[in-house]
Amino acid sequence: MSFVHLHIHSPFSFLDGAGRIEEMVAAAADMDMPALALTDHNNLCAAVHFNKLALKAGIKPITGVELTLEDGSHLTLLAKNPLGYSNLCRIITTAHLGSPRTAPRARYETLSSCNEGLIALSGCRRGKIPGLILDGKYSAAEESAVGLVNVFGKDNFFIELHNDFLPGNRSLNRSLAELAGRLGLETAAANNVHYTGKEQFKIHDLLTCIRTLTRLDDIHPERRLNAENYLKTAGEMKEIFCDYPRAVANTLMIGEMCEPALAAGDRLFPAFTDLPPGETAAGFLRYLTFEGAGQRYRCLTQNIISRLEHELDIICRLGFEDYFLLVWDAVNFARREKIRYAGRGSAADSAVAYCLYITEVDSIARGLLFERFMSLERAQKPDIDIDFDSRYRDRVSAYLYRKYGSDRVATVCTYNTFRARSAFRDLAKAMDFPIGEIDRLAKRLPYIHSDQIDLAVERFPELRESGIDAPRFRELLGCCAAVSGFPRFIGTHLGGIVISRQPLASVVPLQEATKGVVVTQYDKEFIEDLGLIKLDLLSLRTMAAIEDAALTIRETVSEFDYDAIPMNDSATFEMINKGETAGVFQLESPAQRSLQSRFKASGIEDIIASVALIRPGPIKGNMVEPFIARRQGQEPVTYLHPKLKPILEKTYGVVLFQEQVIEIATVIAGFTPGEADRLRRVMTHARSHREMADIGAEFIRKAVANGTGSEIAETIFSYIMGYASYGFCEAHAAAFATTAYRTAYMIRHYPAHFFAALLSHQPMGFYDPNTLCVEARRRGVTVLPPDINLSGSYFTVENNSLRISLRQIKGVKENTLERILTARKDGPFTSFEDFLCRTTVDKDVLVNMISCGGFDNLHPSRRQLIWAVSTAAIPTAISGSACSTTTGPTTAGSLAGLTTAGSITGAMAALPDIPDFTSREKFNMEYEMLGIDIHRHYMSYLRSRLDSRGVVSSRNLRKAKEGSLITTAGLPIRPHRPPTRTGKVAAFFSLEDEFGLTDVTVFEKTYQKYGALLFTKPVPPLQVSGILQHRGNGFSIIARRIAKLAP
Amino acid sequence: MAKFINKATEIRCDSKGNPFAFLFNKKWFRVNHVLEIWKDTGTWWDGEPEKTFFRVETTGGSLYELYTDDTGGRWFLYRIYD
Repeated sequence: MSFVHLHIHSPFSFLDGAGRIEEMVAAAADMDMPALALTDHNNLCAAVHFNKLALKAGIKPITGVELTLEDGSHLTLLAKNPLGYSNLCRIITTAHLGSPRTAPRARYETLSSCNEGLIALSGCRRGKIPGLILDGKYSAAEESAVGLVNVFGKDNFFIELHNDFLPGNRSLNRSLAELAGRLGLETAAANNVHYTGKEQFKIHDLLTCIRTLTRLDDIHPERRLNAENYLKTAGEMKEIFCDYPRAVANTLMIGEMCEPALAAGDRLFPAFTDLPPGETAAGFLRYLTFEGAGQRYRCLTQNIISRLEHELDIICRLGFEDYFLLVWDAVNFARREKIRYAGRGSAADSAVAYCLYITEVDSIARGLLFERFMSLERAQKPDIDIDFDSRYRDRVSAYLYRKYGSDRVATVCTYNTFRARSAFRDLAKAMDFPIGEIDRLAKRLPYIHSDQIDLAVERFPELRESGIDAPRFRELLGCCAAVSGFPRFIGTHLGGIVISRQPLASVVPLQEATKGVVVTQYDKEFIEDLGLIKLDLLSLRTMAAIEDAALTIRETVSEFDYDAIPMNDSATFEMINKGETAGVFQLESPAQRSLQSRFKASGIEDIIASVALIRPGPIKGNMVEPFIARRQGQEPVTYLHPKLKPILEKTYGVVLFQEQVIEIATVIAGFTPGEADRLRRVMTHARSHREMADIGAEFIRKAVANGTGSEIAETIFSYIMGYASYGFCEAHAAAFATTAYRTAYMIRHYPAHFFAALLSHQPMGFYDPNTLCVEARRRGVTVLPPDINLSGSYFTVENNSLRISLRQIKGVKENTLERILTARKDGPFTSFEDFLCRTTVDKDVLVNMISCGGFDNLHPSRRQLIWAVSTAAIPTAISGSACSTTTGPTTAGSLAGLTTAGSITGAMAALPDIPDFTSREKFNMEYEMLGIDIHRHYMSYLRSRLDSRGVVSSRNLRKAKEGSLITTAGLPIRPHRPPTRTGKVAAFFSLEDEFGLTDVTVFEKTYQKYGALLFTKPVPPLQVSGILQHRGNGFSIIARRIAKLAP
Repeated sequence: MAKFINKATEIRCDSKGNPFAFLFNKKWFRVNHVLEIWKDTGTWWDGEPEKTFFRVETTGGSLYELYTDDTGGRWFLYRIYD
């Protein structure tokens, strides 16, 4: 006799489930269970994944939930069919959105209105009926049962019996069975499963400690007494329910009553509603496309017309004309509102998207194939991603909410999962390790999965030196591995918006994430499986910087047009070829700078290749060096198989783009479009090694059957393996390259404007503000200090100088800025006292402003000002309104009744004759308050001593002999360990001095010796000895020895 | 009221492993009913073994709690109810 588990929690019960869904399904399949129900707490997050796995394993998936009701009691609900699923979605959504900022609570009246297609079980001990029985309230329990029978009907309501060996179980089950008998109800046995095997109990117990903020030694009612809530076999369930055989048999009956409820694959995208009278969506799309084509191409050749007709035919035959119109509508709104944006991703393969102004890549001119974006064979959903100016992205999404209705639009969720650092912190805390030690060790852990800590200890010296591999941490690290990838909480996807034809709450459960954003309970992958289409409206600070720079450039060069930047500017390519690309979008990392100094880019195609080359995929796949050598004619272009030539010719025989991988799979192994798409998914979603190995075996088998030698087939697949997960598609690289080139052009011709804009919108890019200022200075731009009368809210340009903003000063918030700038509208501040009289500033912030020189033009001594502020009778704030009266406002940030500015004035009148800070002291204060060395670099103070020790500056390194052993020094910038071709660890960082950046490569042997110094924060100024290497127009150092820079 | 005992005891079990008689104060008590069975993993992080508890009613109508842990068949009389 078999059994069906109808009450199972997965890790998606968020810290109340320790059994992976894959394990549970596999175990149930091994036990020959015909069905399985997943019932996480108040969510269906795992439903899509569970459905897929269960169906694959030959098990009927039952979609369910353990719902928390308004009185805090639990109720188990199972969907019998798609209608039941839809009602589950509505109930869960109402429970979440009806209880904002608190735990979800479903109302009984919602159950009554959404009862169809559902089966209800009376729940665990926290169910209303068992709870009342445990309290001895038998008649109330019966009343409650009658109430639920009235909602769901007698045939759809079961009394749930558990025997998880808790005190009182026997009498509780006896009472429940008696109640069921009296009311003529059936019972159903369940085990309230929270993990697959008994041995996983301790992980569940630890997760419970994390959830309840307790330690193992603490007592908490949520912690379970024993390890009995595992996925028991049918035999075990039968044995522990030997007194209730019918309850066991009924689980099979319930399994029979349910059918898979997820209606996957239905077309749920909305129709475009703003069609001109009598016009169809297809007709209107055609009209807009050709109207845009007229503007884009001016002269429509037959080639262009044919291409557009071909694309429109495919779009309409696949039924995505409404989708294209909706995206057009969104970007059209952005254009009307002058919000800068750029389409990215494979949409740039589409000429229609180009004509609709969705992308800026002319796919026809670039020879990009539309079929890589959409094809009749693959028939997959189009995926359009658009970057918007980060300041205004929310206005675009708000437009969509208004237009399609807030009940039909939601943001896609993400699952925040346990990684090494978070798992270590949370579990160590629960296991009562000292907080200081937890913090010290957690900070050393790199951003890796929590089941990779052991591997990281082997590879990374800073971890070995930390002592994390001591025996007392063994169990902890084992637990970290066990929770790897478990979800911790639901978050908000950065840009994913989903729009539905029908109210979303009937298709997918919704809930509030942080900041009140309503998100779907499915992430982007699961959303698509449901038939919904995600639109990625991303927020890109680079767009904001471009927009600001373009505006300020136009103030001096009125004819400047960012969109009309010449794409063949020799000065820009000359700069790129020197590797001087710090600040350039996508081209600024050390690897990119190094590539550019060797690559000799001469056109946008080279920039596209560059953007695609410096990715983990091509790097791990050993494609960078062959590409450069072949591009420069230093190596012959060869192909492993003649069939690869037409696919790889454009990239000199090297696999560079995702599309090429798909084509190889199709041509060499004869993969069907579906199989090729699966390969793409495995590659782009960094799936498991097992999945990759499976598809690899399939590739090789089919390639051999297709006439390719097994050795060659294996080699070809090894390229694909190496490439997996982190490669760009060509169209995406083209979209990024266009922005990259244009930002390079702006840096080359308008450095003050572009660096001011970049600095205004930090954080973004690879470098912090100080490094950007070093780079700006290297380009002849003067960096000016903040000035209370001259600085704005953002960095500004004064001739060829950039002025540091007031916002850059530590502690300056939006409201402070607003008060200062409003007061300044009445004229510049004439003195420090005048400033105090006219505005209100927090005392600490005022000291910060003085410290970094904000008042240098109003008063000669920073020390005297700080003395005046510190000694005046003002506990926390300086209020201008108290200047002429002793009864000031009572608003936050100012204090009533205090003599504030008045007392300062008094203090100013009696300033002691104290010397001002030294220039070195001011330097330190400025860096502390701004994060920027305004006038000179830290290293410049050490230069004479370094010169005397033979330490070479970055400026002089270029002149040094190739291969010579040299010593240099500077501030280490962004040490990182990207994946390498060999799998060995190599670290890269830049040393910054007053003249610029020197890139340093640290290979495995040196890294194992000195790596701890690079990756243990705070990283001190360093002295590096190594071999100077000239590569193309650039140079770098292969480190031999790294040490803290001696004072 | 319950009296805490927690002392090792001798026990006779049936074929399912449930106690049917136990020794207390040199006298054997026959188990009439096993009223409840529950399990407690205790402080597993300190290496404490899982215990299985039995609340039993003897033929004389008295209530006792017995437990065994999974370390090799040892049994304990845990509590006596008045």
